[in-house]
Amino acid sequence: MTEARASRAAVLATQGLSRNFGGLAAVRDVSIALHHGELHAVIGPNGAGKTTLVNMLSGMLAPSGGRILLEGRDVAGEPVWRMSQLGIGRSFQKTNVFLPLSVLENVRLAVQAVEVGLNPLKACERRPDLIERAEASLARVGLLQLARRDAGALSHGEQRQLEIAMAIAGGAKVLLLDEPLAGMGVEESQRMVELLRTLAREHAVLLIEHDMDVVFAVAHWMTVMAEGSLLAEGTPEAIRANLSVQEAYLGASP
Amino acid sequence: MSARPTPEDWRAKLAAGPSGGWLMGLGTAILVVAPLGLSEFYTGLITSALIAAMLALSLQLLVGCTGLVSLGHAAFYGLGAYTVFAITPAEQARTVLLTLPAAAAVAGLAALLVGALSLRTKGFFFLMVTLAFGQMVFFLFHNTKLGGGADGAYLMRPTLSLGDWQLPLTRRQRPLAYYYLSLLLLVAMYLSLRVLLRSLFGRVLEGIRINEQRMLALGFNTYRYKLGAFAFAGLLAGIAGHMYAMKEGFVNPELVGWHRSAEALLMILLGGLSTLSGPIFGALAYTAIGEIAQLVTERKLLVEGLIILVVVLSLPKGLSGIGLGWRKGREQPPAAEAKPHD
Amino acid sequence: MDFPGLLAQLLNGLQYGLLLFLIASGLTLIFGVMGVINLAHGSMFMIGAYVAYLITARWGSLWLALPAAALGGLLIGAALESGLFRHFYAREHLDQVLLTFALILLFEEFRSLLVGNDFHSVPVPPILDFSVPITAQFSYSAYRFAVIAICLLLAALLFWWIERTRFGAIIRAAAEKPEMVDVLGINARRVHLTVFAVGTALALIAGALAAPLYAVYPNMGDGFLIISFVVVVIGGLGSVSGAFWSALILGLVDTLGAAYAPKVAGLVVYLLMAAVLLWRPAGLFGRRA
Repeated sequence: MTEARASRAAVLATQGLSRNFGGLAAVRDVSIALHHGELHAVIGPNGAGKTTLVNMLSGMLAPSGGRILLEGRDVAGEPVWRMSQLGIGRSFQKTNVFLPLSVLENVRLAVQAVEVGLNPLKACERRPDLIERAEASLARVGLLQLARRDAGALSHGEQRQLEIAMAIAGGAKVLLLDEPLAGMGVEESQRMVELLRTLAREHAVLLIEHDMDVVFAVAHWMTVMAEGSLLAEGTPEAIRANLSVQEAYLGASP
Repeated sequence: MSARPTPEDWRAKLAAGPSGGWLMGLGTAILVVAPLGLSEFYTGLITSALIAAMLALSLQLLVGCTGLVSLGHAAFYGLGAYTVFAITPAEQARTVLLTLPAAAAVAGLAALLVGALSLRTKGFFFLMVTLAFGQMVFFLFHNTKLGGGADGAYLMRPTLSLGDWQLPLTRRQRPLAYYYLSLLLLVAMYLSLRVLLRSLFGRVLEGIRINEQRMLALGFNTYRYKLGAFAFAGLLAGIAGHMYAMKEGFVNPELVGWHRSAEALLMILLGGLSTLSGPIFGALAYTAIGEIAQLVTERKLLVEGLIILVVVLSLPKGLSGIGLGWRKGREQPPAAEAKPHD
Repeated sequence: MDFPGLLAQLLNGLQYGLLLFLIASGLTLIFGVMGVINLAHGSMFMIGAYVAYLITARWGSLWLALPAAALGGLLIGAALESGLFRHFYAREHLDQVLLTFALILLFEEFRSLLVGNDFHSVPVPPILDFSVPITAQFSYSAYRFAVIAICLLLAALLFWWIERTRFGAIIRAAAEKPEMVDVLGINARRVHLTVFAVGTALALIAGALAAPLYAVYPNMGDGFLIISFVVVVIGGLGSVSGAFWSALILGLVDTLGAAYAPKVAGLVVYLLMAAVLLWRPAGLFGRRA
């Protein structure tokens, strides 16, 4: 299984990626790969460096060392807006939507952001295709009926869905999802899990999540991080059985 | 799924508020006929207010629409005025068809340069940097002979002429010409900003104002958009400055001082940050208050200071915020800015 | 090259830079810790100068004026903070700009009402009213030496306070992460009050020291304020050491420029700022913006 996976071309791969903050190595020599159609979960205790890793992959942080290859091209250190345009979409751990704007406008902006050759002086109405694509994105996450609502009026779970809609609206090849289920109730979580499964089919998804049940339910591949380093990676079954992983989480082997 | 305009377009968030276009239309109509019943003094006063309104409106593009608080905006206003002085020979007036585009171009270009540097900073830094650049321009005109030095200089007012033909105006009709030209330019400015804010570009500015970090994460090179807004705002301020020079026939370094920039900010706040019509009302109100205050006391600055205190402390959304503004306050999502450590 | 002249200008630049540092340090601390833009800081400088003028005119001694300025600064700063600025912390920058601008107007008007609009000169204290011979051809004003010494002493005290004392550590922590101050159970109000009072006092002292050198006149705070802003921009927000070095650099550049290239002197400061911004948008010592 691993050999078959390794032979497929990765959409996004890192080689020896590191990030230091002063004397602290937050991420240490991490090499992972994201494939199309695969949901790759990254788990680990707090402070393991998961969010730092995602920040580097999305361009918000420049790596201290190593490479980030997007379809073979090194994009490490590119600014965050460039990464988005290159096809790396991201949802945030703390909901980060435009509260005073409508749900539709939130997503429409996401669509506009990656549109090439746009004439910015055109009136909004003259580009109905942007609105249509935004509506399509909302439909995929199940928020279309709330399109006219202000984002600030949405429930927490709906806002998390909006985050996803914005991440996929631009047609990103890679989705970096940072704890999309954070703070969600049972029913909303189930809906989100279904959504994650559908998304995994059409994108290369990297998922950070603490809920292990969810992770084992949707992940095709898992990476375990601890203290900035890659501890283990493999299929969910392999990881579940892996002793060192249990140590990292439980502190001692049983 | 058919294409429908977004609710934002219908609500026209940055339009004239709930009163919509008809209030602005009514106001314009009143202003058109007003000079017929007013003395020359009041016509001149309203002209000054209209020019101030143009300056405030140009600044609103930065402050209210994009969230960029600049303390050096008067520099472009003054540059517009000084451009008229610079290209007008001592004894001969130039046509407004030359001076107006020249003033706009110089101001816009200067804004492009200043913006290119200043916009590399944010928040407090940006404020101070724009202040410093404004002072640089002040220094240029105050300490050198470029514009007649600290005392300023008189200039031959631009004429309404095209080639050899000149609009025949008596001495008494000239102030009217300045009045109507200012009104025309103000209306044009207002309408063009309405269009701009409804455009895709304007949508981006709004997003930047609400949460610039998220806009970057979505894929917008926000620097370019801010720079475009900054340059255009500078250009508009230059037009306002041109009209000042045309009306007064005089330029002096106070035009570019930071007091002038701060007054422009005050006019915006008076009128309200959430509408395009706000700055216009704010400028009119400010001019009116200034005139009334002068009847009561010579201490104009004292009155000004007290007004600012009262307005800012008690009317957080300005005059048009009293029940009129559309925006749902300046709520920011958790990860947004406006914290001290920009 | 006229060596004595150059030496004089270098010392002038040092003295000017140190005065700038006193003003800029307050500015950068107040913003670093409380997040408030205080345009009225220049007015504090002006008040210090007028205090010096009034005290010297009445009692003939500048030495009285210095502690008066310091004490007055602490009181005025404390009053301003608790009465007014405390309510500005949560406000948007635009509001803070306008409010502190209003304060400038009000301060100027009160000054005008109380003291009038005339220019005044303040005499150098008689003990220091001589020139210290440095070389055979060159001697330098003793008063200016004293100003340099006093400023350096204050700078050293400030550094010691911030870097070595517990309260200073709290200030640094508050500048770094304001939320932490409350979490750690530290009385945030006391921190804010102290920082504001000390910052204000430094500005007043600078004004009192500057009075014999620059004359005392309306709006004198403006020029110093804006250059102080440039100092803070170049030095980096919230960084007192950054303010120190950039104040010295700017003081030297501006003074040397005025002496040797007067036509462009005023511009050089801003060109320097532009250059620093191109290279390091957060300032020389600033954290990443």
